[in-house]
Amino acid sequence: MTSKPLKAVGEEVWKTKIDKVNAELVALTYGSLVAQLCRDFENNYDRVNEQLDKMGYNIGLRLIEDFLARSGIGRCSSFKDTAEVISKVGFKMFLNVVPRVSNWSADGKTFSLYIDDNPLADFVELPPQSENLWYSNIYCGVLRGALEMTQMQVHAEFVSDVLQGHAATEIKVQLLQILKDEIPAAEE
Amino acid sequence: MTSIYNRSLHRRSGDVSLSLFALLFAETVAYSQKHVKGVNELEERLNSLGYSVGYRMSELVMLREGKNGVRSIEILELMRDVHQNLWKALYGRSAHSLEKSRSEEDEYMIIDNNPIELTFISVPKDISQLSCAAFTAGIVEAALDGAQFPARVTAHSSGTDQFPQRTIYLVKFEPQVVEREASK
Amino acid sequence: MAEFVAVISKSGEPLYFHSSSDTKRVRHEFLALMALDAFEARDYGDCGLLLVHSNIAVYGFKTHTGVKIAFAIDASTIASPSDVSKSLKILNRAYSGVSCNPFYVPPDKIHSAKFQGVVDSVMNYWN
Repeated sequence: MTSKPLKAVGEEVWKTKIDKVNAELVALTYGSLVAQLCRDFENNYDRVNEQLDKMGYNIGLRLIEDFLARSGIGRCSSFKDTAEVISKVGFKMFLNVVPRVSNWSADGKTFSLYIDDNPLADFVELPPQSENLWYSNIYCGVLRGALEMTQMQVHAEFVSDVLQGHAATEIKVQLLQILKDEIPAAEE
Repeated sequence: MTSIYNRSLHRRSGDVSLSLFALLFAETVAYSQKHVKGVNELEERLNSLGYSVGYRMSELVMLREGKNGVRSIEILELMRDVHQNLWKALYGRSAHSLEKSRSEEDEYMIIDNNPIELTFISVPKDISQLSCAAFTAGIVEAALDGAQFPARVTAHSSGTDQFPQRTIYLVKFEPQVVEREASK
Repeated sequence: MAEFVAVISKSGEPLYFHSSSDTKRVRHEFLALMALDAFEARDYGDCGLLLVHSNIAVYGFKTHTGVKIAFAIDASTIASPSDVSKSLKILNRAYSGVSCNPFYVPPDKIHSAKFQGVVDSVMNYWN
């Protein structure tokens, strides 16, 4: 593990090791994708959420390589450590935001990520009757896929979203089990 | 009034990582492939997606630069703007070259040696005529439409050994644009 | 005193209309229609004063995609050009925000709470 504080590591990687593209380009591309999914699934938001999670999972499987290569971060010693790395380095280097880690369960296996400034959510106003839609559900899939590649099987889900009028945007991440070495297959 | 004005400024002209974008795009292509019948339809879908992104982005770009009608610009100036500034705004760098067709008055070509959106895309050899860069072509088309220079923009794979994903974005302007230019 | 805000598509369809009073609404809609003609002749951007009629001054902004935003105030209001210009810019930005919403497909009618919020704050400023 690096001796530098994680926040500084995250900032340095973002500044020096990341090729960048316009955030609006990504937000609009993602938005078009979500809108397309809503049309394809005829506003069955449960299926849209599922599809976003699957796509996120596939992205996570590949993103982790990028993460490990660019951040130089080694194995985490605890799940608590993992959470800090996810927020201060992972989110920082890919999205240039640092979600807050909080709400730990007593057994140390569940935490929440609070995203104060979601780059994917710019300009978004959800359509009427879309209370079931977790617009940024792709994050849950990415977390799931990336962590699986580092031998952690997790369950990640949205608890609340400011786009839905809630007070905060919160993702709950729960460690299910530590995996033995196996290469997961991409989800169709 | 000033405080409402300041509050209305669109924030976030920042960046996110290229890998994330490129992976998101690759997944979008993979998803789209299941919902279309054939290469042409896939390219059209990607082109539409790009167009809708470009249309919306150009609202923001126009906004910030306060352009008030670009009709006085010449085609070549506009193309240079696209080749450098639009590419930079999207992908952080300009495209690699800009050419005007020698035979066709209404055609220009922008060449990118390794289009960002293709970073994580590998096209199987049997559908080598597919270009997922139809997405950026859509963005360019929307930007040109927005600047009142309507054109049809298509992407063509033109890989070399050195740059296997080299892509030519062919810009074919509508007749009225060429006529307007000629009358200047 | 603010009178109305209208957003009209490139082809002349009303996308949004907010009137300061129900009793004046018909008159306001008529003025917005009159304003369309004035818009035709103008280039994109801040079109300034389009017309004055029935003691109402209508100002306009044409986005580069041809969407027309009309903002009207009581003609006897002392209106600083800078305030009018800023109001138009604010409405233009708000419209851009709407068009960037992935769930908004032009030329849908505008039902955005955010947009309404901006219109309310601009109209309140002038009242």
